[in-house]
Amino acid sequence: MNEKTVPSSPRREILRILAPLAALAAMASFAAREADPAGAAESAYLAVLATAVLLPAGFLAPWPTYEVGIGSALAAAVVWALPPGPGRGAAMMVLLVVVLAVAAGRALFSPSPSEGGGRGWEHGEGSGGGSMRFLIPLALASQVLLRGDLLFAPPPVPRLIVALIALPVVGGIALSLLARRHGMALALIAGGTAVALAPGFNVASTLGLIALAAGSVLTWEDAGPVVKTAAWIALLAPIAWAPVPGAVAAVCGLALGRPRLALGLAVLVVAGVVGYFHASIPGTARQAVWLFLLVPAAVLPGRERIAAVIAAVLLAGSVPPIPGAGTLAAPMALAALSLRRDAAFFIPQGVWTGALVGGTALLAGYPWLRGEPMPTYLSLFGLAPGAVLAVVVVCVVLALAGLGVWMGRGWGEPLRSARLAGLAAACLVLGLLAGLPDVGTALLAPEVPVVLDAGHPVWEASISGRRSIGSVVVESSLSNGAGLAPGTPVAIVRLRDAGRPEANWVLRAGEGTGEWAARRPDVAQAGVKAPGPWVSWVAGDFLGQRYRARWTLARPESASSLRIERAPGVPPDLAVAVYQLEIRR
Amino acid sequence: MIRRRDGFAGTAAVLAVCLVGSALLSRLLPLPADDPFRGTLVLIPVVLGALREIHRWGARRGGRPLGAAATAGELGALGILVVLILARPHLSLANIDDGLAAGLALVLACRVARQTLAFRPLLGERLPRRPSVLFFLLPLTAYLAILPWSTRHRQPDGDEPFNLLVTHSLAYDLDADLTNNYAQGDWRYFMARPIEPQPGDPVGPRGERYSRHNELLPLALAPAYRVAGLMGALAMMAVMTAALAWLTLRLARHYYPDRPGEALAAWALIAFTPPLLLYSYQVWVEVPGALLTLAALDRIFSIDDRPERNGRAWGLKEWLGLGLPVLLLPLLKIRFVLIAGPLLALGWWHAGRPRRPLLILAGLLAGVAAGMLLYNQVVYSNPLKIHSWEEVDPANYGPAAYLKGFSGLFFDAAFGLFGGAPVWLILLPAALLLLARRSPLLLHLAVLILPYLVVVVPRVEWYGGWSPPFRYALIILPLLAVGLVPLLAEARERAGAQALLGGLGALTLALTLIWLAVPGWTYNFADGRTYALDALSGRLGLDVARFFPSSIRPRTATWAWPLAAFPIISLLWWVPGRKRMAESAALIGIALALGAAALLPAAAARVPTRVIELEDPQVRKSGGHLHPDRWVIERARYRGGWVLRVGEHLEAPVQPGGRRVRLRLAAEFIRNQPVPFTLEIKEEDRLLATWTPRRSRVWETVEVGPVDWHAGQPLVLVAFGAAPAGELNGAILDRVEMEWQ
Repeated sequence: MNEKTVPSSPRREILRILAPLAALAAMASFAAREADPAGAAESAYLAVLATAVLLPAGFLAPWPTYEVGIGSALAAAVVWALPPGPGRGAAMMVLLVVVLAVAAGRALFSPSPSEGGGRGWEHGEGSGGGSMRFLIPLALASQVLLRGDLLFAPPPVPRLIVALIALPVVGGIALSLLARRHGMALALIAGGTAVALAPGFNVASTLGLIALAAGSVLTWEDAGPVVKTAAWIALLAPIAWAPVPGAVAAVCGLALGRPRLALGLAVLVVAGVVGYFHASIPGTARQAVWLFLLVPAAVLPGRERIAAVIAAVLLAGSVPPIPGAGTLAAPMALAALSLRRDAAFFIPQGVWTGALVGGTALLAGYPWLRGEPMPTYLSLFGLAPGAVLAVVVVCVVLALAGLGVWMGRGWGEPLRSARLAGLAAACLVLGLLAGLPDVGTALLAPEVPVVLDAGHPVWEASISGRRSIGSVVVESSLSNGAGLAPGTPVAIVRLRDAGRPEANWVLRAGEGTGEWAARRPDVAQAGVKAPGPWVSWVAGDFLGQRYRARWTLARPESASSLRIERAPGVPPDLAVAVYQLEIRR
Repeated sequence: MIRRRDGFAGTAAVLAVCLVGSALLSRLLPLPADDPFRGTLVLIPVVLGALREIHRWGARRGGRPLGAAATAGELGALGILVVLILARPHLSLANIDDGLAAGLALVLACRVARQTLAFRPLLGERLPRRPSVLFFLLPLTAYLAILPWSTRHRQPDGDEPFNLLVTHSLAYDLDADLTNNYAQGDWRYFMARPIEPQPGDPVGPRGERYSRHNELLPLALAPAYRVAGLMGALAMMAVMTAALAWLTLRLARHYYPDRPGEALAAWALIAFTPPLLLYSYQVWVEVPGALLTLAALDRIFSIDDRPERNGRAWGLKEWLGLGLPVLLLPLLKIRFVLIAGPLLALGWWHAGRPRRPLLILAGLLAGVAAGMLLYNQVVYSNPLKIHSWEEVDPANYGPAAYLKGFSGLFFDAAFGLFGGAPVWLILLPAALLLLARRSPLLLHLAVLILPYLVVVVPRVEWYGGWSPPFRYALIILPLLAVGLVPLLAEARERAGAQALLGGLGALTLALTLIWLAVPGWTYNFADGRTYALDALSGRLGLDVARFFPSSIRPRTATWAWPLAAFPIISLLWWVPGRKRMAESAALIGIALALGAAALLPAAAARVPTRVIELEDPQVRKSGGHLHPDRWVIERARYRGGWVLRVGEHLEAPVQPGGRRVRLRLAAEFIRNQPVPFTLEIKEEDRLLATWTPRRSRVWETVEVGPVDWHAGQPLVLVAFGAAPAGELNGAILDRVEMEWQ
């Protein structure tokens, strides 16, 4: 790294937080007076969420932090101007991700290091202190984006502080230590991959990064005995937290300095895990595929890092994902740190990782609140996350890397980097476009539900044009449906056409739809089973949710009308709110 | 030369490829034909190609190259937005379209801002006589980029449909007779809502229907309309608007040739902020009017640059450059004769007061004006078409009418310049600076515009009528922008100036994104309300609009804002500060603007209610309707109110300003049935008074109190009476004044 010291002053530090705090005041003041209570609750949540991202972004962005100033104004505009509902939440999340990306991008690529930018994307050694100034705010802001749900119904303050501040700060420090030896680019890819897994910095992923940082410190030639002792303690500490994931993390840390030794230990760990947990080899292989899905450029490491990558693959396959996917963070980050030190490789990988973190943050955040946001993001490419998608991603990244190597002969480094990044981004966008479902026809206006209750049990719409229908997507929720047993039919969808037998499909509670207030504390405590929500919204002090189910017809059929009716025999007070009916080819 | 030719060939090739890309997209795009984003997505390749070539040519001519990383970021953001646009039918989120449109506008704004800064070296140390064509092409590209979305989202309004119908008739029938066009419903080629002849439109001897709008603008649009329909006509308007921006930069050299950086900032301000940005995709005579005026001014001031004096300066260029605009302006709109006259006088003065050109042009201008008056008299039986001599006679208006209209042009929340784009508030210190420096610009501005404003400003319809903000004064906007140059020259070193630019700039950016995403929100009705403030008042359930000036519904803010803004903005601008402070002051300005916004809901909830306009959105109604209808012509002549019929009630929030209050309700009884009618006036459930009107269709003031008032209680008005079949009795309720004790 070619970093210079960033001049700073207390006045400047105060000014960095001024605009986000003023935005908080504007949004909170609006929320406090909003007439609709649900809208007010959502405004208040968005105000806190936005400020929690903008504050660290203010310290991340190069002076004079224009993007944060403008971002603060636009965040306030989103709360003030857009009507309450999931759409406003989605707009706010996109804005915050963009502000953070611009701030990070400017900090990395700004031509003037004296203004707080220009930390450089390139590999090479740099001072840990300077990169900490960059990585800690980035980690804090990313954590809020990835775990923003914590701000809606906050846990006790100590736990909140640990989750939203302590873990990302420690993670940021660990990454800055990694950046010192491996360069900012690889450290960012390693950190991005780790936080996409959990999502965010949880105990498992943070301990994994700590072990890697400790392993990296052990390789420093200028480290004294005290530092090395501390590094050994940090390397082994994860084992005390959870023996198997801890041991995997420690081996990953060792791999940074002693890759062959680590490979030997990895083989032992795999043997031990397979023997002890009776893990199947195909299952282990399936899990190992995730490494190539998340770090595809690792498929072609430098010769001196082959052992480390093999160790990472073995460990990624064998570590049990308990208590969560965060246990895979260490092997994934190890693979990221073992990438070739060539822009042709780490730029496509960086674009992939950046998009992975961004996409995961959007899906983890309000209003989507996906339980497994990273796999959900990957499935947007039209293929289920697995071996096939991994092969496609690896092929594209290798093709881009090959192109990058070829480009390197004719173009200067910055131009090559920019064009390669652009190409990688274009491939990503094309992939997302290819993964879009077929164009459908929505039969209802967005968020204007049709309610089927005892008084109005049927709704029917004619379908214009003679088009074949391959599937019907039903977005719905139940009111007073908490007491229904899972699998209880609640509605019947019928496709009708003159002269043909009608096609029917039953929408069932707990499968294709569920109680809208399933997250309300009293309902949740009753153990109501609800499927994963399609979208959530702030309904006062809890999150309401609606669900999406897809009825795929055995073979495409044409229909002149679609009818949905409340199932007979359901409790009289049950209401089915149908938010959307989309017919697809 | 060869390199240049190669460059042109390369540009042509790139644009050709982009056009092919757009053509392919128009066929392959998996969006229905009526999708609001379809046109925008189809145009993206052309816009990207144009921006790329503008950058390439800019860099070739000495402009700064743009950072590749930022360009990659913009393209990435665009790609993600395109994915979201295509995915949005599956997301099923309400209002997502507006957010995505604002996102696209933000990406465009980012590119335009970077490109504008990169253009700085093109202007050198002194403003060139002929600025690069890139200063025309960049705004044109931006205008074309926003055109499909804006057009899709907003039907032509006000004068626009009639101008377009005349254009259609000229393009297809080669005449101005609209009889067949109305009969065939030719309006469907450019809008979905049917239009009918306007009241006062002339009728020919054989029943021909003509429009009262002049044919010059439709004539200019007809060829483009014939080729590409509505989009062609609007693209032509965009070309005129971009030319106006370019001419503004060219004009700046006459006043401040050694201030190229500040002139660039003024150019960017006029080109890329409202109101000109909003007019770029609309059909109003104001843009071509301003274009002709600026062309004439440029020719007039060019005379100063030439060695010949004392009348010999007048040559073919002056005949064409000044004579043509002077004669065309009245043909565009008769009121522009009040601009043409002063233009001629200015030209005569600058050319060394030659007698012959003055006499000839003055004679021709008088001939054109007299001919038009005569024609109007013959065709419309009124020399001023639908207007009267009394209406345009300045002596018929008192000072209040002038103050109201002039203040409204700038400060009115619905139709004023500052309401649409608050960054223009820096005109206030600029005016002081020009005055202090005795700038000739002020004199030119006064000579040019005073006769026009004297006639336009005091009229009831000073606001323009179903138009975007600042309509009638748009013609002077370029001169106002040039007037900012000396002020902007001081901005870099002044903390206050930077703070103002930061705060007002952020506010303007947010508002511009809203105006672009929801174009209809700039088309306010002349009822003293605005779409934006109505939305805010409705969301908060509080009267927010009372803090903003309206010249249509005068209130304290109408006078307080101009009186306070002048000294406060000016003092803020000249707040001294060290250079180190200046660079961070923009951030402080943004924080101050947000802080001021934070105060607004609190103020609405705490400042005592003095007047309740009962038709406003924070007043909850169980039924009834607005009076008069929003579409009524010259709406400002009427007292706006809410019709409450028997059985209906309304509830208005009240912020108390004391323990006791005297109420004055302005209301008019509408008797539709010969049965009694009573209106109860309550403090929530507590009856304060009843009003039983005796006379129908007479405005009455109902006085109540003083009565005790409890904090947090709303004012409730309930209509009672018999309800026989047929139209019910009711009352138009205008407003309640509350006098606190």
